[in-house]
Amino acid sequence: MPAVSENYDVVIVGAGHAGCEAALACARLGLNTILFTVSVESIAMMPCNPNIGGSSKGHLVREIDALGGEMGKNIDKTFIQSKMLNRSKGPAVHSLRAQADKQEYSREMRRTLEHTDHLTIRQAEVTELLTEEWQEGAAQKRVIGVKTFSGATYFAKSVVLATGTYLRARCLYGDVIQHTGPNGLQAANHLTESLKENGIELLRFKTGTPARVDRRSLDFSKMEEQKGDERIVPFSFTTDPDAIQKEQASCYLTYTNEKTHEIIRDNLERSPLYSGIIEGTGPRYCPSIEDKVVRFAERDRHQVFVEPEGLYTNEMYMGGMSSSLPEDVQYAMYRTVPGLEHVKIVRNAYAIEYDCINPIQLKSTLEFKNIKGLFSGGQFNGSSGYEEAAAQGLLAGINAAMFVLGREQVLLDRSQAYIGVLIDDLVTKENHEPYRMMTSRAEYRLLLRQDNADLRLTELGHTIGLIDEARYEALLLKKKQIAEELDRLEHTFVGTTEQVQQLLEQYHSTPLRSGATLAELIRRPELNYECLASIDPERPQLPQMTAEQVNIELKYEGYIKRQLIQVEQFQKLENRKLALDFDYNQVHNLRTEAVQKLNQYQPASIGQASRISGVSPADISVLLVYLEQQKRQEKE
Amino acid sequence: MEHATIAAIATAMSPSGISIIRISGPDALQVIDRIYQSPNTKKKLSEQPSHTVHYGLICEDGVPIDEVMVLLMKAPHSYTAEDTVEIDCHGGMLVTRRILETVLKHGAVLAEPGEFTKRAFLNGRIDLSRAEAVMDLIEAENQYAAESALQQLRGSVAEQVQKYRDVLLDEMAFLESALDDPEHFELDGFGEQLSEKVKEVQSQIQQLLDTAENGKVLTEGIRTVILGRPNAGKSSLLNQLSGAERAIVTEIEGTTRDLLEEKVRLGEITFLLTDTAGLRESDNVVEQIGISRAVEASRQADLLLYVVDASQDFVPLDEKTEKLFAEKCTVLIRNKTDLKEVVSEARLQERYPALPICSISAKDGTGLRKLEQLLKELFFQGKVDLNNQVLISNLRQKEALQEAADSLAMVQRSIEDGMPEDFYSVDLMDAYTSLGKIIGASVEDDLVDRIFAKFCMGK
Repeated sequence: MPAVSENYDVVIVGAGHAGCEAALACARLGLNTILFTVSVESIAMMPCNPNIGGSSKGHLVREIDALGGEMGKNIDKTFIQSKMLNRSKGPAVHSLRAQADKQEYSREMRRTLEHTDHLTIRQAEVTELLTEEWQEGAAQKRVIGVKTFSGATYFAKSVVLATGTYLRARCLYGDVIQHTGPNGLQAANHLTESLKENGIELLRFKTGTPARVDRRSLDFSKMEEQKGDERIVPFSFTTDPDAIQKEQASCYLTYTNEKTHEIIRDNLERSPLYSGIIEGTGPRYCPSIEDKVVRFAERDRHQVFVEPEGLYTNEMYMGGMSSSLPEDVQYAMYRTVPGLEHVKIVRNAYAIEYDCINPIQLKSTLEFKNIKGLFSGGQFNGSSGYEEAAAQGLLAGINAAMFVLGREQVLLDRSQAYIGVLIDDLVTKENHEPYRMMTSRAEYRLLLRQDNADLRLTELGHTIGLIDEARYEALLLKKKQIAEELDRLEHTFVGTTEQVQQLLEQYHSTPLRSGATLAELIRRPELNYECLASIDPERPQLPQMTAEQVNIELKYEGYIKRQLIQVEQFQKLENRKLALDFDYNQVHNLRTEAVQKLNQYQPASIGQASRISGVSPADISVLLVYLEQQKRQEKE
Repeated sequence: MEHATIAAIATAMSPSGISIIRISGPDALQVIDRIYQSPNTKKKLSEQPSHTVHYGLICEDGVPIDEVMVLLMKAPHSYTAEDTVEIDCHGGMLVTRRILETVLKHGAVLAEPGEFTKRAFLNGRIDLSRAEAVMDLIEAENQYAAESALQQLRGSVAEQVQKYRDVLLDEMAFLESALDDPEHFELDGFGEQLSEKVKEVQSQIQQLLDTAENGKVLTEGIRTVILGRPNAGKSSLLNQLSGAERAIVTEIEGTTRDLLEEKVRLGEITFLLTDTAGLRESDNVVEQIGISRAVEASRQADLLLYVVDASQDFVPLDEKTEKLFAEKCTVLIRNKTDLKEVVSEARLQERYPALPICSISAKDGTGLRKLEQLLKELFFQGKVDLNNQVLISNLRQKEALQEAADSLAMVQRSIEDGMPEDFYSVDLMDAYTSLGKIIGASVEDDLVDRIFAKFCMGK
């Protein structure tokens, strides 16, 4: 029977946040790319919360942008409120979060995709992965394309899987089960089988979302209004801050109470999670309200964030109230919350269960160890969150492109980026629940700030080919300006003039006894770069973000230096590479558990090996001794 | 690389009641099968359960060498985590050696010094600090050092350090939770709370560090300099001290200034004696050099023995040297009591009220036992309770502890400076990692070099 058959460089399966970044990266690098989605209307859909960024996720968005990804630019075009979180804390944990107009976000991304050369969008369900035998290193197969439900074949040199939460998805609340993807969209029920046949190990995860309600049924006078920042800071380093200052929508904060918790406790057995209908593992860090009530039993209230889904709609999102309780219980519990007494639900809260892979099957490049040319990203890899998905999608797309182009694969380590931490955690740690990015996961977070993502990564983005010359030049200029300004501040002395002493007094800082450099003054905890402007007449006009870097570098110099030493130590172990097809049975003194784990994970370096759960420092010592012995024997 | 089965005599080679020969490795059970004979049955030891003791004979070509008890410990439940056999035989160097030779003839190779420990470490049975403690034990040169090494072997350093790490980990975990989940964890007042906890750990680490000096004394010996005017009897004293107990352990050419150093054991304490005798008995120029060398050596010393000739009119030393008596633990030795007394103990005490005085005759040995007693007392008064205290006796551990102490000081500074809470974790992490180095819980890149150096693994 005749069927459609086409050839591409890269096939991307799924057009969520991961798939979009992957597709754009490949197409922008000039590769003939096709992007599959079960519904064109659902491109870059935000099926859960209506925001981008937030604690540590904001870092990811900045890093995506610094590497030449799209998420930051897209939210800058479509946000309706913006906030820099944790301003009272150190610069490492400052985090940008924006409320998106969901529909605009999705439409804007679709527009960008549609205007990108070499990129084809195709609505179809991919049902089969096409591979052939291929022995090379740890790989036993290589990917050659995909097949869709209609029987059409699309051959490609590389495939990126970004199926999100669609694989064999089912949505649940109470005893209601619907075999659909998020938001009632069609699930992808066939691909799982094909993946299994290709030796891919799958897990079943679960996540959930709260109800959407009608704005007109809410009483905001009983809630706290949460406004955006007065001065809006963009996500993208390319967005002109002045161009995006605008009127912002408000969010509202209210709280659950004992009555709410009582209703939840009384109906726990009706939750599919507690009654055992749900097999998947849910995220501890993004818990449903019933989880919170059980886990924090001593708490008499929990926060409920009421957030607009967009300017086009009355729908409001009940942040913090995700649930899989039956419809009647949802009504009952929501209506105990101040301001929600007469709430009308538009869409029920639900839990969603789906197939994802055990990500330890991946290399740090997001390529499957056993199937050459096959990459994957996003929730399919066992993560949660739009930003985590986009970050992986970008890396998977870049490496699929590098693979096709025959160029070196791109790796980010834990000391370079949150993206590096995210991927390393996924591929080396036992993952029992959807993985969420958190600041605590980044050991070197003082260096991995959201404010310096461009300084860390844009050069790499340029090497990859996703950052154009103009932007690269601008980065070099910024670096030069920072260095020059730091040097000037270290060598500019101020005397004990009345003006200086007055200024110091104004900031409750000890007066000077003799001259000091401006750098020394900035290092004082109570002072900063900005407040010294009046005693620094030679100061050049610098962009705000450049000045911010100068301030941070000086103020936190000691800490940054110490963290750099930590990174140096870390790098030494990362640089001791291990072969990906090494048989650890050869190392006689290793404990059996360590041998099993190491054989299973096949870490790329000693450093990565040391992070595998079940591998102890003593095991690493044994391994190091073994490698050293091998080396010495080879020398002879 | 297949591991050989190794064997060695595990007890000291001295005429004692019982000696032990230890065999470890994949063939340990086969080796014992070949040489063991049960008195009445034909049982094979390799078929017996682990951790059982068997009476029998060790035979060479069917001829019994000795009647023994054999202890079986099968992998991984032994010190080395390999199959291990211990033969308890009648002490006596000849018999012990013959049994070892028999064992070696039947499939084992002679173990290198420390090789059992090396295997225990490589097999993950013991952590690095314990492995090092065993090495120290092998190298220990006197009883106290041995006790310190034993303490470590029992894991007391590891235990202490683990406690500090637990405290730090708790605090870090709370801090990180609060950063991730500000709704459920509040950081109000965390700084003060952390400061208290850190202060406690700091003081405990300091205590451990203080013992490091003592630990050093224990493995190397107390650095002791004998001072005094020419002919006061310094050489005689040295000869008496070294000869009396026949305890010269080593003889080292002084690394500095050509002074002769000798390790001398008095009872249970080792002294590293620096002999300044003879240096002052030539013409003036040489004498000047001698004085400055003696003074220099005295500055480095832990203990000064100031020898005075009781049979001659008293002549004090130069001021510069005498000044040292106030700084260093000094014992005044009134020598030559066998001759006519010119200078009385009372007179010397009047001039040096702070110094303990001991009257001896280095010539015939009178009073030496009293001196030994006095030196011991002085040593113990140095607040060193050797039997219970955890001692840090190796340099690597000391360095790691110092690093941890420095990092904790940084944490305190951050708190004082009012830095945001997330800054604390940089130095908390460093302290945690440094402590981990002591017990082998932090992976280090230079580990291999150290292991190779320590265990002489060669290729």
